Amino acid sequence: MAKFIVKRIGYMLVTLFIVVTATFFLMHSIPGDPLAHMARNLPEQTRENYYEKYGLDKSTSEQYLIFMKNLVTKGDLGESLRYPGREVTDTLLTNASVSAQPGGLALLAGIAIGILLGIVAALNKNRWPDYIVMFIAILGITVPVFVLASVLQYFLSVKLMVLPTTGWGSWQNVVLPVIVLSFGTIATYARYVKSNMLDVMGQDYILTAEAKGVSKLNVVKKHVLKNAFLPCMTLLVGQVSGIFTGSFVVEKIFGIPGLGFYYINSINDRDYTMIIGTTVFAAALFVFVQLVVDIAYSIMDPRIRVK
Amino acid sequence: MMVNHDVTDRMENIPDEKFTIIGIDKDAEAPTRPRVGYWRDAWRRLKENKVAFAALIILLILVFFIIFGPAISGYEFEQIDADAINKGPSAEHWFGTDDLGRDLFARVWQAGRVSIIIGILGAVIASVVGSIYGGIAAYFGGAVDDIMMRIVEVLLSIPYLIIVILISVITDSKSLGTMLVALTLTGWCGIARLVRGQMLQLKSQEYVLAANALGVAPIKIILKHMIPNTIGMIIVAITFDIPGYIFSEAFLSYVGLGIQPPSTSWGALASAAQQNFMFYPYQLMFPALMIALTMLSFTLLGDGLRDALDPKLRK
Amino acid sequence: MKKKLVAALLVAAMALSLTACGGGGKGSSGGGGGADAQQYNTYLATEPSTLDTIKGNDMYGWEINKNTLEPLTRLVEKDGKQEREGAGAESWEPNEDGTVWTFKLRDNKWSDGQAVTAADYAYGITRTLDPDAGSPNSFFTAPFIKNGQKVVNGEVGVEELGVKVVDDKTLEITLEAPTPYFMSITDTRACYPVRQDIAEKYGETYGSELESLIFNGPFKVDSWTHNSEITLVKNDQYWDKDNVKLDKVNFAIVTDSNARYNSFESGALDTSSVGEQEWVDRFDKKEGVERVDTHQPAMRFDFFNVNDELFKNLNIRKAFTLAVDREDMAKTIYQDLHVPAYWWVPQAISTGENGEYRDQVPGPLEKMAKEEDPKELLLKGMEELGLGSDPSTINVKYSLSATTQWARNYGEYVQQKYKEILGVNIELDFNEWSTFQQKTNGGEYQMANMVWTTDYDDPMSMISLFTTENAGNIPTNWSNEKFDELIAQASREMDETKRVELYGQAEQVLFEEGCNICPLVNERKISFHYDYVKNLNERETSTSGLKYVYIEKK
Repeated sequence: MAKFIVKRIGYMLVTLFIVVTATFFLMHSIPGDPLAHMARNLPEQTRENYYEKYGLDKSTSEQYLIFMKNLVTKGDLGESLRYPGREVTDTLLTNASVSAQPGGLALLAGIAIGILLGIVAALNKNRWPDYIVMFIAILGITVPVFVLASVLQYFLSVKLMVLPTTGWGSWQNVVLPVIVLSFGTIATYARYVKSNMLDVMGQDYILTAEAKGVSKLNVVKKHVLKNAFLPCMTLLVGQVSGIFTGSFVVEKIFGIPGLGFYYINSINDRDYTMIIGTTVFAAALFVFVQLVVDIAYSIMDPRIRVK
Repeated sequence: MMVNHDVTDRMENIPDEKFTIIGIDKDAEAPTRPRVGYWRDAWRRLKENKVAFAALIILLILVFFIIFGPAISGYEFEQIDADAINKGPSAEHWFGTDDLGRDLFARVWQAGRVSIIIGILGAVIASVVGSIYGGIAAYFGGAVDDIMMRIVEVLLSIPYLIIVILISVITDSKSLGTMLVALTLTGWCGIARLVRGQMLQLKSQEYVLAANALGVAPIKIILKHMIPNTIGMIIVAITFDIPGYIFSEAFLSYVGLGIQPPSTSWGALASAAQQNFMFYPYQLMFPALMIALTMLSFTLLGDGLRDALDPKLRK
Repeated sequence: MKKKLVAALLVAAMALSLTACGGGGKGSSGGGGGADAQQYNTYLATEPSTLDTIKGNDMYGWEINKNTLEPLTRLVEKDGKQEREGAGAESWEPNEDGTVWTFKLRDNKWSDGQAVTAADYAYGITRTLDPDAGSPNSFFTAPFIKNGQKVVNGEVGVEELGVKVVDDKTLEITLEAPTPYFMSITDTRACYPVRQDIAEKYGETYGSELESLIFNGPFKVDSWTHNSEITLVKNDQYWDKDNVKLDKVNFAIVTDSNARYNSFESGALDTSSVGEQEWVDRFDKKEGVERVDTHQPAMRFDFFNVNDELFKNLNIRKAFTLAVDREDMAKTIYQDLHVPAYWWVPQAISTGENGEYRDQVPGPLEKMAKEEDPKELLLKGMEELGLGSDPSTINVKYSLSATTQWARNYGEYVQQKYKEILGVNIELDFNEWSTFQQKTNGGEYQMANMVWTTDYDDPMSMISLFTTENAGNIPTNWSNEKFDELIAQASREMDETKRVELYGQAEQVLFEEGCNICPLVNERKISFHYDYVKNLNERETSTSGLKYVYIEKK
């Protein structure tokens, strides 16, 4: 096991290295001026000084070497081009911790409710509970997030005035984002859990158990659930990093100072240092969660043996 | 040696008269019930599923309107009318008009052409590529699996927006093909991981081990045994991905790579209606309804297909 | 074992979100307050890039700067008129030929208790022009202050600049030439005071976080949660603190406009500008709110690349300019929120004592639109270029500076209308701002769409954008000697009436001989505020910020 983990951590670093390198060169190859937010044409001399200061006057590969050196030796991601004076690392940490709250809660709530609904649907296949779950699932996927967010904001904050419209800092600010963000997760898990459970319930060992007279409850509890959840863990990998990278719309509508904003806007602004920063963050998280899931997988499923 | 002699001796002692020729029984080896192939059996079972069949009919109706709807409406889908801005549904404009006074009935169906193609093609391409990729990784395991999965991780970790912008710059075209490439380039990764997860479980199943022992080619094992047994999950993924692709296309429009005006799509219509949906909910409702209907019918059809294609449920 | 692991995972995930709770929840949310609380809840549409006046150039940072720092003068609204009032400067005086201005400063203190001196203003002005500082604001002062342009170009050192500290309370600014509207730039960011010791202490991070900031205006920044909220409190070191009524100002950073309207409707915000007719109608019906309509000194327009194979022809440019049905566009696209524009210098810009420029000079396009037929002009131009007589063979790439849904809708409108009126084909090219800037500045475009807001309150700010010297700002590559000469004359003309006349002539030349721009609409701003908020500025060009605003609840 220890050997497996060490090997995987080695892989992790290689993957991260490739991601960072690829992103670095890709982002420099797309057109766009990182100083465009200054709105008007900067005087020539000013522009040159700017480029020099941020090292943009050097070739991409030179910039890459400098960046890598700073990253590896000092863990330094540099300073934002768009927000002068702000360290990328600080921005990432501050904003990620904000995104983690509604995102993390929504993920937990979404998974719990989704799994529950999935089980209900699978056990009542083609009966009304199944249809209701299916309806929720379809709603959760087809209703665009911005619609749900705006409607909830309008009714709960403007009409009923029970929750604040936008802002950050108190628990009330988190309620609506959590509801909105968990909606899609609920739908996804409900659907997958149902499908997997039905798969598992057709397996020989379940039939054997039933034939031996094990009660339905016990069959579900002892055999079906675990085997049905396992494949769903793969979903978790994307969703954990999605907390930080995919919450742009919800953060915008509810005024949450999270990371989603930087993830989208840094690319539009060609804020190179911030692009790389968000990429490093998201990729590291992604790879790490992947590792955790893989380890969990191999522990929980006896059929997958770790060499 | 001695034992053998004994047996032959005794056999030789039976007289020839005791044997009669009864001819060949031609039916002896025939199966007791009609021979039904995997796919034919699946189709038979699908036909029996009323819900799935209803879904198929809804889909056909949608396709009908997508083909003929714009003509039925009597309006050009791109015709701007300053005097008919934001009018609700009426006898003149069945689905109302948008903020430039364009007829929404014509627009919704016109948009459906793009969305249906993108949604289905995108989901199918991603699923096929993803399943095969995930299957290969899971089947071979070890170093192959490691490398293949690291490639997926890399692809998923590079910011999507950068890749999309890059594609638009490189190809310098905004065709449907470019869009599909942009959409599916990383779209298959999720399914690949899902399928791999499932297949790792299947790999140690007895029938796979048996096929392996009998020397069946790996690709055949993946295609014949492992994928059919993951089909349930793949179909769920496809039906889930269809609205995903329809919305992603809207996102591509947002970064300037999506379907180019005057052409439009459901995702584009829905996001156009976003700002003012509180005042003109119908502008959002119709495209959203079409997306939901498409997804609903695919889900139900998918469920039917799943039951039909699942070898474990075969009778 | 297995169960435990699942539990452990859940706990880990929870811990992640809980520790995060500790880190993030800094800012306090506004709202409420007692009946007589002098608290004003307003918003910014985007996070300011910095609060450093030298590096910052967005309007969001400007909004905060205006309230927390003291410029030399402020343009204040009194009885519906604007008046220039001494702020950091008590009095000012030009010498005889108008080339040397002497500012007498009043006694004011920084928020750390130190006295505000002429050196603080001198440092701000000088640093803005220093190419090492990389300020995007140098264009404000570079053309006027002696040696300004040379300093920006790196030709001479900053010590050659015409800015002199006579003593702690006296600042002397020498100009290149007499500049009649020089006072209009004394309240821009390029003339704001900067504390050299603080700026140097924090270096690159100056202006990026609350800790690095210092104030000498009516308010000081109390908290700054990036992308969320900036709160200001009254500055009790301020020289005129008795006239400052508000105790607290919350600037919520709300980027989504529907969220903003919802917040205004629920009372979480005391004000909101509104960009959609539907919301205007709704708030019109709302009790207890007041509506303020103002013309903005901002233009939405198309511009042509004069070096382009097609748009090198004047008649073609005129055809495209006159083909626009501005009334229809204002109605269809802007729901009449903006005004059809037949001019380049927008409404709301005034010329000293004479009032609004647009009231004195009619828009040149009005007459042209009546007299000339765009289709004929197009055919004439096509003939001149040898392009035959079939407009449908003409394909034009129309570049937009956004990829939003709105831009898309707008583009579709333009596409459709040009097809209808001229019969030409428009290909839409949506760009993010960063790409748009690169493309247009590099001349890789045919026709593009943009918005321009005035920098200071004089027609010169807008009209001088097309002189050969300034051509880089709106890169049409057009150059005209007659136009340059008229602008040069106007910049020296001290008589208001004569200057207005010269501006009028220049604007006429711009459309008759250039037509490198196609004005579309003049922006208008409709904003609502609850009626207990008093004394809000109604004009965009006013620079008194929230200094005189107060709350009066019944």
